Amino acid sequence: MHLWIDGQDLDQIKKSFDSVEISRSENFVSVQINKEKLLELLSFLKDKLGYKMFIDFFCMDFPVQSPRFQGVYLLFNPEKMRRVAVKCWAEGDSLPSATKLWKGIKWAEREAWDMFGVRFEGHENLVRMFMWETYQHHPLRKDFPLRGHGEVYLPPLSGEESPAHNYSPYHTALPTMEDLEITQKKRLPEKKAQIVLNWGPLHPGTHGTIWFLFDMEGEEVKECDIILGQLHRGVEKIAENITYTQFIPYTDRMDYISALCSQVAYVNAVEKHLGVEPTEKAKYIRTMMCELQRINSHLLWLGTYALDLGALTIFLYTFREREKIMDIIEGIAGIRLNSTYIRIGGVAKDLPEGALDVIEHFLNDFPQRLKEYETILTKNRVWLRRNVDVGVITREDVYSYGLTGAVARASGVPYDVRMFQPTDAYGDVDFDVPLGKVGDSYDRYLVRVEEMRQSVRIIKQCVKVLRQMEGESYINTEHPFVLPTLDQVFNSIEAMVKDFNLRIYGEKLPEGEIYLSGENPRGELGFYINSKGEGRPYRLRVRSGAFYNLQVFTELIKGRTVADAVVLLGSLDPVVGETDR
Amino acid sequence: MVKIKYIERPGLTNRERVFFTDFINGMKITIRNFFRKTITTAYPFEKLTPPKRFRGTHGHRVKDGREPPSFKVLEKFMDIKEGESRCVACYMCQQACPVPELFRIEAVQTEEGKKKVVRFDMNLLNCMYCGLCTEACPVDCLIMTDIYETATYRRSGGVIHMDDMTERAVDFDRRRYNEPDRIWIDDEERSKLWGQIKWS
Amino acid sequence: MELVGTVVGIVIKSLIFIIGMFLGAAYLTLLERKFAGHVQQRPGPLHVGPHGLLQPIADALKVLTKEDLVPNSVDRVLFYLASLMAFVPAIMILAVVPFGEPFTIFGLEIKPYITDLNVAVLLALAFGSLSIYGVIFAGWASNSKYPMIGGLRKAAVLIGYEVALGFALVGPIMMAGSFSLREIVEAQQNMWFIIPNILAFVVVIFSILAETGRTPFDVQEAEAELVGGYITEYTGMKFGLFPLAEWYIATFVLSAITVIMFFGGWNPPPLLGWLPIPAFVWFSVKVFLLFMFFLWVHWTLPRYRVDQITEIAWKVMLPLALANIFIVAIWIIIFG
Repeated sequence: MHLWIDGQDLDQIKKSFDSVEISRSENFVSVQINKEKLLELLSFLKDKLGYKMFIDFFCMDFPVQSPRFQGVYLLFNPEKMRRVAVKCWAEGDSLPSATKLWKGIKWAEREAWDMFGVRFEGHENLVRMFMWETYQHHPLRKDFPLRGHGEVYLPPLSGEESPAHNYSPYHTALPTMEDLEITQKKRLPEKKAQIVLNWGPLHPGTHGTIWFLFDMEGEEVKECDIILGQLHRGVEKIAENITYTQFIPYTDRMDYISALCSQVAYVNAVEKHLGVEPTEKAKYIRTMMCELQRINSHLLWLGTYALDLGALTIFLYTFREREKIMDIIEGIAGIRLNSTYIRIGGVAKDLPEGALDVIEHFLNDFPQRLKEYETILTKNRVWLRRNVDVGVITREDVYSYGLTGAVARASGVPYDVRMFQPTDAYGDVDFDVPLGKVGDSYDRYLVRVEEMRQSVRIIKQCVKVLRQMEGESYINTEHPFVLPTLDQVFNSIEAMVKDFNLRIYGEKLPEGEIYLSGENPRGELGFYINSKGEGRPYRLRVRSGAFYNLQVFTELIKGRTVADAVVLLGSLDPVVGETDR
Repeated sequence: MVKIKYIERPGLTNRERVFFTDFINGMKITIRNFFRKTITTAYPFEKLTPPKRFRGTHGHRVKDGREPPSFKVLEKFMDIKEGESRCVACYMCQQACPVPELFRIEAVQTEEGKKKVVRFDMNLLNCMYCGLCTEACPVDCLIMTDIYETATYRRSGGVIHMDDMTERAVDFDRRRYNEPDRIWIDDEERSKLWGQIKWS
Repeated sequence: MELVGTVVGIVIKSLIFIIGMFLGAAYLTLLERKFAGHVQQRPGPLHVGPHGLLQPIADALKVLTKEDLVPNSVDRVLFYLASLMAFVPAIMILAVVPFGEPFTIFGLEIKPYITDLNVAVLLALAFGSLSIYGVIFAGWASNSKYPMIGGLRKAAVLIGYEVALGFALVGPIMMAGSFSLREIVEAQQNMWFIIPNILAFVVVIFSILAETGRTPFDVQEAEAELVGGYITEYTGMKFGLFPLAEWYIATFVLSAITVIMFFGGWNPPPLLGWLPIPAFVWFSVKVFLLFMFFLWVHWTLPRYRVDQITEIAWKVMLPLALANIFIVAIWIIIFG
C-alpha cells in the first residue's frame, strides 16, 4: 500500500507554490521549498490539504554544502492515510518556528537546536532538549567526533592503573551541579507559584530518569517542565558509524521494554529500502514475537501503573505473567530483555523445539489472568475516581502534538500503523483496533487492556500458521545483502566470503531515503534512513512515540495535583530509553 | 481483517456502590491467590538452567575433533594443537561487533610460517551480549555459554582472556553439547511458575 | 502501703503491656510480610530462623544499629520529638484497653487492663488525635519539600477522620450508657452493638484505614508521588518508629477498640458461649481477624487522591456517622 502523498495533492501544491521541488520515490516523497515560503506551505498542507497530524521534525547536516543544514517535516493526513515530507534548507543556520501550527513541534525544534545548532525564529523558549545548557557542542553535527572531545580526566576510583585495554581516563564533558542549576533556571525562567518541586530525576514515580519541575501552589501544579537527557546516548550518532546489522542491538536499548518491536520496525525499514523480502515463516515469527512483546510491555505498564496508584499486589500478578513471556523470549532469542533476535532478511534462529507448545499454554492461561486484573481494577471505585476524566486528550491535541499509539487511540483517533501499513504478517491476521470515546486516563487503561486481548488473538493465529511451517527457512539468505547462517558459513566457502564482505563493508543500501514506522506499544516508532549508497547510513532518525507522547504531559498536568502526575505519566507510559535515545 | 471498535466504559451501579461489590470481588481474588502455591525461585539456593540458546559470557571452543569443515580449510595456516582454542585470528568477531574496541586480538607468525593466536581479550563491561560476534565466527570457535554470574569487584575482572574462555567453553560443551535445541530443559523447576505444559 | 502496692502493680503491668506491644508489633510486621507475600504468590521472609520466624528480631537489630543521620538543615528539637510524638500516644491508648475480665490466680485478683477509666473512650480518641502532631512536626522539621507535603496530607486526612470516628463511636456509647470500655463490653452480653450500629461500623473501618495510613488512604507516604512522605528524611530507629506506630500499634489498638465497641469484646459469639474457651482468647481471635481484614484491604486496593479522601470524610463519613446516632436513638426509644 502506497502511503505517500498522491499526485493530485502534489499538483495542488505545485499550483499554489511555484518554487517547490518535488522528489518522488517509492518510499519517500518530499517537497522542497525555500525558507521564506516554508510556513505558508506548511499551513497550506495543514489547513487546505488535511495534512494536519504532526509526525516528526528533524535536521540533517551536509557540512560541505551551503546552507549547511536541512530541516525535514513529516506530516500525516488522517483522512486519506497519506504522509508527506517537507524539506527546507536552513539559510543562515536558522528556520522559522512552526510552533504556531503544531504544538508538538516545540520539543522537536529544541532537539534540532540542541543536536545541530539550528536556531528557530519565533520559538518561545529555545533551550536545549537533552544536553545541559552550558554544553558547548552540537553532537549530531558531522564534525563532532563519535567519542566526543575527551575533556575531563576521570581516573578509576579503585586505583587500578588501566583496568582494560580499551580504557581511557579522558571522558567527554560532564555537567556539574552549577550546570544543572543553570539548566533548571532556563527551563522555568520565572517562579510563578509557591514552591518549585524537583520531581525526579531519581524518583520512584518517574519510571526511569526523567526530571520534572513542578511550580506548585499548595499541591496544585501551575507550571511544569520536563528535563530529559539523563539517558541520552546519541543513538542516531552511533548509527551513522556502524553497519545496518550492527545497529540492531542499539534499537533494543531504545525502548528496552519492547525490544523486539523496535527491532522489527528498524529491520523493516532497512529491508524495504534494500528490497529484501523475508521468508513467510520469518514474517509470522516476527509478528508473533512482536505481539508477545506488546503483551509483555503492557503488562509492565499495568503493573507499574497500578503500583503508582497504590495497588501493590497487581504489580506482582502482572510480573508473574510477564515472567512467563520473558521465559518464552529467553528460550527463543537467548536473552530476556534486549533480545537482538531479528535480522535483515528474517530472524536470527529458528523456533526451538517446544516453543509453540509453551506459547499455546501461555495463551490458554492468560485471558483468565487478564480477567483477574480487570476484576480488581476496572470497576473498582477508587480506580474510577483516580482515572475517569483525568487528563482528557482531545482529537485536536492528538494531531497537534503528534500523539500516537494507545494514547491516540484512547482519544478516538484510529491511528494504528499495523492497520494502515501492515508489515510482516499483520496483513494476514484478524484483529480489532480498540478506540476510546473520551480520551481520559481510564480510556487509555481500557484500550491497553483490550490491546492485550487482541494480541492474544493475533498470536493464536500466528501459532496456527507456524505449526504448519516446521522446517521451512527462517531467513532469506539468497539475497546478496542478507548474512548467511552459521551452518552455511561452516560448509561453503562462498557463504564465508559473503559473510566476510557483509561484516566488513555492511549492507550497501541504494542511495535514497526511506521513512517507515512500526506500531510500538508506546506509539509509532519510525525510522528515517538517508543512505548515500554506503554500508552505513548517512543520517538515521528515530521518530520516537514516547518522546512526543510525553510532551503532552506538561499541558495535562496544569491545574492538577502531584497525585495526578503519577496517573498522567503512567497513562502516557513513556520509556526513557526511547524518549532520550 | 482489521476492524475498528469502540470500547465500553463500565461504571458502577448503585447496588454495587452500596454493597461494595467492587471491593469484595477484588478481595476475593487476592485471597484466592493467598491459597495458591508460591511461584518464586529462591535464587542463590535454587537456580534455573538457562536455555541452550542463552547468551551468557563468551567461550572459545577448542580443537577436539568436532570442528566444522571450514576449520579444516583454515587450519592449514594455523599452529593449533589438540585442546587449544580454535581461533584462527580472522578478526571477524571484531568486525561484526557494534563496539569493536572491546576486543583485543593478537596473532604472531611462528617459525614454520604459521599463525598463532597469542592474545584474545574481551572487555565484557562494554559488551552488549548481542551475539553478533558468535554469528560471525566462521570456525565455530567463539560461542556464548550459559554462565551469567559475572560480577567482579574490580573493573579488570570484567576483561576475559583466552584461557578463561577455552575453559568455559570446554565446561559448557561437556555439560550441554549434545542437548537438543529445546526452549528449556528443566521442566520440573519451571513447572512452579508454568504448571503442567502439554508437549506435542 | 496499699498505694505502694497499686503503684508497683501498675508499673509491672505497664511494663508487660509495653514490652508485649513491642514484641507483638514486631511480629505483626512478620505477619503482614508473610500475608503480603502469599497474597502475591511469594513466600515472604524465609531465611532468618525457620520460615523467617526470627526476621523481626533481625530487622529490629538492623534498624537499631543503623547509622542515625540527621540532615543539617532540620529543626533538631522537633525532628527528634516528632518520632516520639507519633509513637508514644499510640502506645498510651493501651492504658485504657481492657483485654478481658478480671480473674483470680493464686488468690490474687488480676485485672488484664492497666486502668478502667470512666472516660476511656474519650481518652483513646484524645491520644489518637495527639499523633497528628508527630506527623506535622515530622513534615515541618525535616525542612524538605516532600516531607512537608506528606505531613500536610496526613494532617488533613487525620482531622477529617477524627471527627467521623468520634461521632461513629457515639452509637455504642449511647447503647451502653457509659464511656468505660469494660462497661461497654459488659453491656453487649446479649447482643453485639454491630446490629443497630452497622453504619457506624462502616465509618469506623474507613476511619481506621485512614488514620493508620493503609490503602486506599495511604496518601502520606504514597511512594510513587512523595518518595517516603513525612519520613523521607528519617533514618534508623527514628524512621522505624513511624511505621511501627502507625501501621502496627495503631492498627492493633484501634482494632481492639472496634472489637470492644461493636463485636462484644471478650464475650463469646452467640450460640458458642458453651465452649470452654477463655474470654481472652475470644478477644484475641476477634482482634486478629479484624487486623487481618485491614491487611487484606491494604494489599488489594489502589489509593485515593488526597482531596478525594477528605471529600469522603466530610461528605460521606460524617453524615453517615450522624445518621447512625439518629438510628440508634430511635432504636433505644423502641427497644429501651
